[in-house]
Amino acid sequence: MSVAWAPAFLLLGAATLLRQDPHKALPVFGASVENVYIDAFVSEHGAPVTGLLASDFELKDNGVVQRLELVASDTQPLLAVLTFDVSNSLDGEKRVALTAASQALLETLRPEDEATLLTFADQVDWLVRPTTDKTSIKRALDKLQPGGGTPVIDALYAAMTLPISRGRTLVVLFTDGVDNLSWLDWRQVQAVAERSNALVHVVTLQPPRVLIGGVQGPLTFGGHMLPAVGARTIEFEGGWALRNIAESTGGRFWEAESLERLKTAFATIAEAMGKRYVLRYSPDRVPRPGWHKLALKLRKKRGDVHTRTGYWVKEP
Amino acid sequence: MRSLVRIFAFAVFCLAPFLQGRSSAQSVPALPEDYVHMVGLYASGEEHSALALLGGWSQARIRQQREELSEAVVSIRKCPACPTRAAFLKFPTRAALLLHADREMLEQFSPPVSEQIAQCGTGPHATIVDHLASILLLIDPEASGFLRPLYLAVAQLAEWSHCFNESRLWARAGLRFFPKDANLLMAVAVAEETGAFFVIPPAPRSLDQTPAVARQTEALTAKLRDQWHAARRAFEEVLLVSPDHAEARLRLGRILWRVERPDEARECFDKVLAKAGEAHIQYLAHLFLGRVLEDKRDWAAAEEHYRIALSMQPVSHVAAVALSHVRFLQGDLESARDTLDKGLEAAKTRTEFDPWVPYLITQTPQGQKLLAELRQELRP
Repeated sequence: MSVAWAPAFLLLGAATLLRQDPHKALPVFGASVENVYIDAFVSEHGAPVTGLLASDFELKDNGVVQRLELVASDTQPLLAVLTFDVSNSLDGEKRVALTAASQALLETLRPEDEATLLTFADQVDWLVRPTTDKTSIKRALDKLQPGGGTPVIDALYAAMTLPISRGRTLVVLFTDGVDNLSWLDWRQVQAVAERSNALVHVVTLQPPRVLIGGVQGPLTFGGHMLPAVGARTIEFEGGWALRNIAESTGGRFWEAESLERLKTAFATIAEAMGKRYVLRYSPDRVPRPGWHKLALKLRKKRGDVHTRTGYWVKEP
Repeated sequence: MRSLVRIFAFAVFCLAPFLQGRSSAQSVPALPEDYVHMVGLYASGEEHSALALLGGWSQARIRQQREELSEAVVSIRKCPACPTRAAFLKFPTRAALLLHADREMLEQFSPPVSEQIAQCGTGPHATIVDHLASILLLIDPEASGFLRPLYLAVAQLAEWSHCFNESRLWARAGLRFFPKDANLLMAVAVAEETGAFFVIPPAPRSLDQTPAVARQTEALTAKLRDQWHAARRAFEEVLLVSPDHAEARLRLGRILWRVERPDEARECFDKVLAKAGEAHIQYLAHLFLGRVLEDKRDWAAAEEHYRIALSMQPVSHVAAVALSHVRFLQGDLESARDTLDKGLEAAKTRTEFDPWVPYLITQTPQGQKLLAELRQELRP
């Protein structure tokens, strides 16, 4: 059967609808699964591994090995959802670096690929709707006025919910702060990510592990108090949650320690998009409704496989 | 003859303050001439000049002034008829209080810039304010009407600067004089709550943590839990003094939800909503109650509360996010998207903060306003 490309859960019972109206297909979490598409990235020592065949992969859906087919990823249009923190901390230098990094990412997109821009400060703004005119994103970035708080989690929810993709969705969320304004919490957005088709990458200028050596008494960072715990490395919930959300979609959490590294992170994300594998299978011998845990690995090959950890099928 | 001497002595005793009145300021160590001049400048509206002069004082000079004011408190308390009291009756003590409070804030609280490291502390002017407040209470029967808003204002401005510990300290300093003041109790409670909110929670325990990190994670989690419980107790104290305090009950409810007592939280929100009240409190109560119901998977009821919240604040992105998300949970992604899209568009027209923002970070201009009013009272 021929269906438009869409990853994992979006195809759950949606094949017919996709042919009729791709926009209406997105909300469906049906119980009838015809094809599931898995978007995977394979790397070894950080470098992408290319040239793999379907037979090089082994996929288990709820513990049951599935028969896979490889689909050419470049046949599907991409929607890049740039989701940027424009709170107070995005000063001139950071803004310039972020614009340059975004530009580098946008330049890797093909003419048929789309991009959209959401920003967040005191609230989330959908500044540029999905468009193939990438220059409109740059123009919007040039006009950004930083200021306000940091509702990262709400912005991520908006990024995964608002834009409608004709194919693959790539969310690149940039933040240099700690969430201090979101209504939603990470558990809620983790659940949304599990039901979304988006591949989420989070790029941060602030490492989630904060070394607090020799600091006496509490201080605040990004408006948040950090407890003094001696010279220990503690991972805090915000970074940990974003990393988990990104990894659950097959994406990554990038800790850019410098503005230069920011550009590298964006470029690597863009490059990796062209080197991902799209695998298709019809779920076999697995109960349909509920959570489907996915385990994708290589057979007799070396490499780390990054893909979503599962997908969700709604009760009929 | 002995009676005459007694009458004369009594007259001298009674008139002493008035007889010494003209030169009393000079004769009381706590009120040296340069100090009286500086406070006079502040009282006359030259606040910046007075603050600059005080800023030029050495640590030793400040310490000396603090000690002399401390002695003055004792002197006035023990001997109401002594010259010190008379000197302070002529001295603009209220202006001195404002001057030292201003100087303290200038030196100890960083400006309210978010996403910056907050520099906070308590300096010698805070103690001087305490001594002057004690003096004012001894000499001025209407001192309470001045001191209550002064302590509240400084506590609120400390909160504004994310100096939560200092906010608590200032409010508690005021509570030593006015233990049942609901506003000061509320300031303590809000500082406790906001202080807890701004602590970054550690990531949950995991198997890959080293034992040392695991122990510290547990310690941080326990400390944060204690902070939430301290905030809870603080709001309960407010409600003991002022049972109809809707904001205290709203905030208590949200804390109870945070510490996983949803039924008690719901009770609080129900009580807030049972009475007509300020619109922003009602709005938040609907949002918070919606969240309790959402957690109980009663999505239809949660949606109704979010919908009411959005109708009360049509340009609220927070209510739009909440409503969108609960629709998403019900599988209606199209409606979730539409609600969010319209909500974010409407929010662009907002001219004031969504009440959710000041609820979280309590950046109220109220402290500045109170201080401005107090300064205004100094003017003839």
